[in-house]
Amino acid sequence: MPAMHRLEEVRENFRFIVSEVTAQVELTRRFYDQPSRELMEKISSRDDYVDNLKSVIEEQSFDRLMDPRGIERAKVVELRALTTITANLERIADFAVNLVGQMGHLVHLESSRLMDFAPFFDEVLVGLDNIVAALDQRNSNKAFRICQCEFNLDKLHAQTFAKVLQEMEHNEHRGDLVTIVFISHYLERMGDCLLNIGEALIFVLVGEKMKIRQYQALSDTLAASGLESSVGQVEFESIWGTRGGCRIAAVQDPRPESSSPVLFKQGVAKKLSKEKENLELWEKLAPGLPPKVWAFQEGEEGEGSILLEYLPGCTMQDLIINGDDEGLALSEHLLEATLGKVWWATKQASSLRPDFVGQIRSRQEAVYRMHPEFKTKPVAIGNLQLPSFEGMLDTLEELEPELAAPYVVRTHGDLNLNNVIFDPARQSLHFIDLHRSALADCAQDISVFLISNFRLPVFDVAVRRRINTVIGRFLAFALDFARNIGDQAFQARLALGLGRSLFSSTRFEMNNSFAREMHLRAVYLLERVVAHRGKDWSQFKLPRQTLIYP
Amino acid sequence: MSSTTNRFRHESLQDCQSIINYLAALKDGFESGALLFSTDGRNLVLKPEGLINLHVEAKRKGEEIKLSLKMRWNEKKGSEDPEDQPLLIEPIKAN
Repeated sequence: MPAMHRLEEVRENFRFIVSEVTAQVELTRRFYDQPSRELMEKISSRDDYVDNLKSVIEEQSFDRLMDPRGIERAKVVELRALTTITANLERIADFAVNLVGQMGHLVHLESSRLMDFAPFFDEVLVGLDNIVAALDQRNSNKAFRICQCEFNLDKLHAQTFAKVLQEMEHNEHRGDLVTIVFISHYLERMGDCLLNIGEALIFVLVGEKMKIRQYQALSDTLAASGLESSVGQVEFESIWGTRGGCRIAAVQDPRPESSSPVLFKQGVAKKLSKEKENLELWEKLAPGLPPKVWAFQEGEEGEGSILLEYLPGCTMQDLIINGDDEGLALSEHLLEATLGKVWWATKQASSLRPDFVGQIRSRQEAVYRMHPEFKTKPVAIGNLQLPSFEGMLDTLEELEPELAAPYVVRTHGDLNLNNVIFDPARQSLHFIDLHRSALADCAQDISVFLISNFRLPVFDVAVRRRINTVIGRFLAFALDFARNIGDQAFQARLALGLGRSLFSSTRFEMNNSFAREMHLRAVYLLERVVAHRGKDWSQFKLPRQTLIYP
Repeated sequence: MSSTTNRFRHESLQDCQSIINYLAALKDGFESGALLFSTDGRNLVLKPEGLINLHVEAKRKGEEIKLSLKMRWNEKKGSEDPEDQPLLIEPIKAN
């Protein structure tokens, strides 16, 4: 009977295979810079060692799993992930050998200089480099970074493919061009493996099997818990860390007289204290709307914690997706009634200059990281001059003062579908995540709410129809309010706000065609505002069809 | 500084009013004999001449409508232009 292998031995061999495959990819990269027969032989012989290690790890894992004394669930999960990752590492090593083989097909050596494969190798190495760290440090940020390699490599592959197509027109070495596509394809397939690896790591760290495309849903859930809302790349990573570190949890209220669960949040004291202040303010404005604050504590080094009432029910997003038409209609009605009441009660004359351009600018980097193709340059078609996106923002910035809101109202600050909770049992509505609440332009909340509908990546006809209905009704309510309050430039300002929200939402959207759709609509809305320059803003008509998809 | 390119692509959303600007720019280009397409200072100048193959296609698929206009022509080298060559008619020599 084979000896029982301890988990530690599996882990050690696992670290070996990671470093072996990393070395393999580094050698392949060196081979691209300076091909030599010696290096080629080295790469192909090391591949046998990787295959061997893989068999050893599998064997040790199965032995451990078959241990008659039993094994804890957490260890089963880890072993399962380790074998999945190992299998994918071995494939990466195979692809390295394939890559070296492809180089041999390049007839004209200068062809290999046509494309720069360094960014591909960099990306693969970043992925590999994060594996052991993610596992040892229980760091889900790193696991997410590994998943991201796949999307970055896909993009690089697409760029290579496009460039090759262009070269085909004049480059005589067509055979070499085809080989270049193969090379790029093998590197892209390494990305597929890295995605599997990242997902396996997330399984270990988060304890749930999760396809990375579900990340939006997860971040939304966390946003609904009130922890964080607008999720940029960095903020998003912190959410994963937060989730991994269990910094937010529904806990049982320790007081004996209470049996309802409460929500426990830990974070920066200053931010939590601001949230507490806002929650109390909203409680006065609309009793029962925000969760109750049970306790607030300031700890050491700026840390704080807060105990909040856990609100039962579901988010408006759930109502839309799950098709609870009755609940949805009631929640829409309650939302309009609440906002109307709060807005009228808190309105103060002002001449608040909108800052939608500033908001776009602060999110541009995150958007371009996900979609570099959205960074547009100036274009001319005959005598028609179209500015770059940047140039358009400059013009809009000059226009913004003309669009000032005549009133400020108490805003939610992040009024997306996930921050509105409907409790069907009590037929009541609640707002969560109020830490950004301020006296501000209602167009801010309105545009965020409308786009949180539009951007739902759901394309089922019935759901889409429901989304379009909610958008249509809410827009009618908003236009009505603006008319009654005498907000002349409202439609133009809303177009800016909608453009801003559409633009910034693309940074969460990995579905390229849907992201492009949102981006085109954002640009269209912003262009309409620019085109109205010099005319009477009260005559500006918001192109409503921009909010209807498809 | 401007340079030349052989490819130009641009995608945008327009409405019935704003699209006129694009069509007018193309119309002006055909009238003046040169169509300029430029991105970030890289220019593609097309000089339509001679015969232009025009392909118009309109399609309705449910609610989705597609209208495409495709124009193709060959750029001729100056001296090979048949317009520049004298037209000669020669008698067939009898055997």
